[in-house]
Amino acid sequence: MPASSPETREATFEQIKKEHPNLWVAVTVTKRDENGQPVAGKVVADDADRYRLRDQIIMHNDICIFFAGEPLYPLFL
Amino acid sequence: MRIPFQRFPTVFVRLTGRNGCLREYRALVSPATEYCILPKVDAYRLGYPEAARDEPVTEPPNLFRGVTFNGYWEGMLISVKEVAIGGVSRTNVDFIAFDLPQVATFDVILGRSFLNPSRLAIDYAGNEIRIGETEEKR
Repeated sequence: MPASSPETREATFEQIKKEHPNLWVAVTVTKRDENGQPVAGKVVADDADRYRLRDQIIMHNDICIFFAGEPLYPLFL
Repeated sequence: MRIPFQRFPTVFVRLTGRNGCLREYRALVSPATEYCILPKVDAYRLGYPEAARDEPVTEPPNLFRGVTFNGYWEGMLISVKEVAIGGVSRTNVDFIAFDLPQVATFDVILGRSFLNPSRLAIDYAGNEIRIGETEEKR
């Protein structure tokens, strides 16, 4: 986690991607755009492993999860 | 609704489970995928214990088999109470509880079980997803 306390500092999703590169992050959303898409929030937890991230957010009933980066390999899904 | 994307067509989607828990994900929009997909751990957290396959011998009724580029796979079929992208929402959407590889960097895939019957356009030239309701859904 960054030095600042979790759940106290609001950041845009672009800032979050820069500050938590290539990590799974869990965010409480604080701002949305006109389409309802989240654009800013407070980082609750981050982790390189998405299952460890789940352990940290089990008590949260409303939270946004995403990977702060792009796939490192070509995708064939 | 117009949603910009960069490398892959993605949107943030909100899932409400039968227990009222809410999870939001950056999801890959994949019209060629028959069903939506979410991780098993999240299916369980959203109130769908049937996402776990506890009995290795008998086949549970919601066991689902599919095929990918890499061969056959199987997961558990669940029906998520509500799924929404902004103002576009569906109730009782079929999802497969299945763990995509972490290196894929997507937890959730939005497939045809959500996208049909919305109006969807993926504009790679304009790096934009356009999604809206059909007339009968309005």
